[in-house]
Amino acid sequence: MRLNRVDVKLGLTMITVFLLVFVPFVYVIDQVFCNYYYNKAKEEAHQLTSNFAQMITNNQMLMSAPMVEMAGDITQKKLFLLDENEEIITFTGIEDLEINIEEFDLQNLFEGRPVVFEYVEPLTDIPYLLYGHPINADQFNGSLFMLFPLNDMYDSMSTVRQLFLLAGVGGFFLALGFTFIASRKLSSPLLEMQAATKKIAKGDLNTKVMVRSKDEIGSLAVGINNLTQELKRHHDTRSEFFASISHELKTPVSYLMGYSEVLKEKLYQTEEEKEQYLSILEHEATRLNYLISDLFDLSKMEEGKFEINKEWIDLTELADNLDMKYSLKAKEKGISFTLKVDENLSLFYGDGKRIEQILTNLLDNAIRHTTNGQVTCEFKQGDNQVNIIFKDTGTGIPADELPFIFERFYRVEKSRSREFGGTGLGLAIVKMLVKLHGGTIEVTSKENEGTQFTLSFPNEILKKERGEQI
Amino acid sequence: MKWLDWAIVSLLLLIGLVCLSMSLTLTTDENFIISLMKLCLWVGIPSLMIGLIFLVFNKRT
Repeated sequence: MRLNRVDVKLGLTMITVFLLVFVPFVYVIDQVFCNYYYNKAKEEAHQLTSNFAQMITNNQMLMSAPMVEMAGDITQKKLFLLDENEEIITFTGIEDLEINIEEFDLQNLFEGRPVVFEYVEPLTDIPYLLYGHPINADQFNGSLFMLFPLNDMYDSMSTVRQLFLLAGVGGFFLALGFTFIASRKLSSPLLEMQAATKKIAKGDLNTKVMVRSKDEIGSLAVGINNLTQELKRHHDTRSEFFASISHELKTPVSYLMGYSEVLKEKLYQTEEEKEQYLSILEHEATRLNYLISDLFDLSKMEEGKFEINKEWIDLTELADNLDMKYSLKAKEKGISFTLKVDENLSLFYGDGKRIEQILTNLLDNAIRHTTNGQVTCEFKQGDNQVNIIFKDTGTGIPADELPFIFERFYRVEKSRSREFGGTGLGLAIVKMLVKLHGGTIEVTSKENEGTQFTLSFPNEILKKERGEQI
Repeated sequence: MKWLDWAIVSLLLLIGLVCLSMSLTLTTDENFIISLMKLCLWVGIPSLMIGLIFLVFNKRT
């Protein structure tokens, strides 16, 4: 059985804690139990010995020998009397015992206090409690010693200890059983998650982990499920992306291959036809170049490696340049172009080149998709933000396609996409650039009525005035 | 938990209860079966109470 498992570790920890508490507890109970019975025996010995010592004192030692014999008969205990010189003067029941009284420290006795010793008879190995009480405490006249056998007490203590041990073993097995259940129950969600993550690592992104609780383990399960969903989405998006790139690249490349072969084989009739084919080649090569450049920029933005160089720029100046460029373009197409700028437009903290890229992308789209009517661009200064609004009266975007227009290669009216031109990445790039400047982009549209794009950027001037970090 | 796990748990609990019952029987005048029944109650009732508390706690969270 593999020991390096969570349920084994958990179980061993629980059993260790149980033993760390149980073992000292059992030791204390054992000591309390043994000491209780020993102290009881000592108390009984004290009572008996002091009573007889008192009797001998009262009788002034005159009748001591018969006294001792009588005490021995009544109590059925072995006892002996010592004089003040520690000589045994009378005894009963100790004929067959070897006691060397000089082994014991009798100082307390001489000072009028009782003494207690443990004595093991060498021949029989029977343990005794040897209790000595002074006779006539004011003036030491000798002492009375009584022997109390402890073998019965020790035997019964031993039996009880064995039964305690048996009960302890039983308790340990019960603890082991419950620990087994607890460790398995606690570790089973983790093991389930481990199995699921293994499956996910092997590529099965449809794996789901059951969320059985609302604690940290439940959160972990939810986190794994979310991660799997993200992975799956990323995986699907990547496949889609590669399919789209391949398609978008193939189209201009096939034009380049086709027309270059035509020119090589001189399959044209007139110089005009040749010029036309060369124009197409140039147009497609340029388109391919823009596509590759846009893809590169987009991938750098998504990886977070795209650098923007922020500085304070005057949007009014930018607006004037756009006005000049797009008024002409709009005029060529027969539509009107209006540009409005708020008088109190504050300075903008951003990358001038990239802001221009955002604005030209949106204006190009607006003009491209408007055949009659107008295109307007408005720069508005709000309290906490700067808004740039683009409105056109073009073909509009169907409501069901609106959520997808910022996705890479997504085109509305795919059948006419080549006619409108572009790489299909413009809005994806616009959205990323707006996000890099801390702004947001919103779009509203109605088919055959027109589209409105609203860009909102935080007012960095206000932040600067408040001393906040930009 | 698989059936083998439950079998191991049952065996461990049985050994524990038997040891405790034997200890009890040897110190009292009671029959082994009666001691075992009493111990099953002493173990079973607290386990049931803890299980109920655990279920209520789980439902609340």
